[in-house]
Amino acid sequence: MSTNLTVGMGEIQVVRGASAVLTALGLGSCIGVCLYDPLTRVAGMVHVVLPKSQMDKAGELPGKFADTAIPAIVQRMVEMGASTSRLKAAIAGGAQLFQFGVSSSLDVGARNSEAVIAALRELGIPLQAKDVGGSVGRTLRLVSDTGLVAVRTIGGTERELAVLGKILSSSGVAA
Amino acid sequence: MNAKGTPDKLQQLVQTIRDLPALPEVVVRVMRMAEDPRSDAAAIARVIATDQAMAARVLKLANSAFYGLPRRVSTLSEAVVILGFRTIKNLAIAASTFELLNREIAGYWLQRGELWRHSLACAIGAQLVARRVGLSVAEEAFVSGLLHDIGKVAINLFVREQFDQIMERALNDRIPFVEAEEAVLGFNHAIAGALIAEKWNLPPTLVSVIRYHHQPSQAPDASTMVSVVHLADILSITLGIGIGGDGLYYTLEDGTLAMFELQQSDIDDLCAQIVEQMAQAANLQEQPEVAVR
Repeated sequence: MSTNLTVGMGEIQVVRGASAVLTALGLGSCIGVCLYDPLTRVAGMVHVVLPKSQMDKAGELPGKFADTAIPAIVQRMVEMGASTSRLKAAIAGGAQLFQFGVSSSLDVGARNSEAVIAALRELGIPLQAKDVGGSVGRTLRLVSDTGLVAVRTIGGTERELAVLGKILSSSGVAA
Repeated sequence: MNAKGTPDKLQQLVQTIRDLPALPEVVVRVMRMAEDPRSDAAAIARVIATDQAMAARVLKLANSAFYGLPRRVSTLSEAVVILGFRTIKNLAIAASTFELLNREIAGYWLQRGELWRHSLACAIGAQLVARRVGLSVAEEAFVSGLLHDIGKVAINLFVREQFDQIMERALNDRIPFVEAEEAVLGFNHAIAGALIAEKWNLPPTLVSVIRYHHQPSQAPDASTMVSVVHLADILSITLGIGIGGDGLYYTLEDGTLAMFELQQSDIDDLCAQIVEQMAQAANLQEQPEVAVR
């Protein structure tokens, strides 16, 4: 029997080895970020809302902003035994309003995608798969046993995005 | 089964709306009393107290973060005095529409509670935008935002039958979902919502907000409130709060941000505040347990 954990806006959930399913519901312009260490099976998900944190606001959830969310979740995962060098990522979300120009102030989705990808790159975490953009709402699931990442379009069917638990191709595992 | 056709559908819609529950008598009376300068707080509180479930929900809303009361109010008469007639009237309207908005809206792929969450996010957003632009009736913004999508409750079954055609129409013609609804069904959720608001004898400004929340410039009275709710709705949709199969297939009307002199940083700020207040409001969805005196 697996545990279902919902990852609300700005929240971070991290589990180790448990039979858990982490779910981010109703991703619009937000990004659901899945991180996984195949060796220790530490799994994490964060529901990022905006690209940049606001300097003047203390006590904000670090998971809310891409620039603070990625370092925060990685730290949590490392504390639970993961190694940054083994982490793999998959992301989904970052939707945009229909027919919206790139220059618009409301292109939160695109800015979120960029910021999340940049933050992952900064820590050297490979992005195995992404399903971003478009105008659809999405639900993202991460299965902690296998690192399976699945995306469902609201009103559509679920599809497999990646299996982050495949360890053969990872050079970090031997370390 | 009747032949397909728009007039036939419209008649079915009118019937569906006729079958929706009326606004509770308590709310109708509170609305009337709130407009009457001779009313007094104790009398309004007494009227609300005749409906226990509503009274509890009104108190719960009054104590929620949006009203930022310095201390907890525990009685209705206290709430009426502190918040004022107008707010109490809006709270009563909000409380009475909870059951409707909390329904599953399968036509839009919205699970039970999702439309309420979206409506609440829009209500919070509308209040934030109204305050930011210095609108004197920021108070009305909350209830306007809350009710903007009430029409989805009425056209739910029509959309469920033809969701695929509507989505196909939106994609092929590159039009927002709400326009595709009208193209396929002959009406949309904004039109249906306005019909419900009229049935409920809600104020004309509120009817107008609901009717034009996707095209504020088309509103005959072009009130600022329509644009406020339009922006709040688009922000809530963008954030994905209570979005369904229609996803982000909507547009922000040109000139809306300029009208309010909002920059990208203001938009991000508003989004952050909506999310924050939604987290605080999470308990509003639970069944009320407040005792009423």
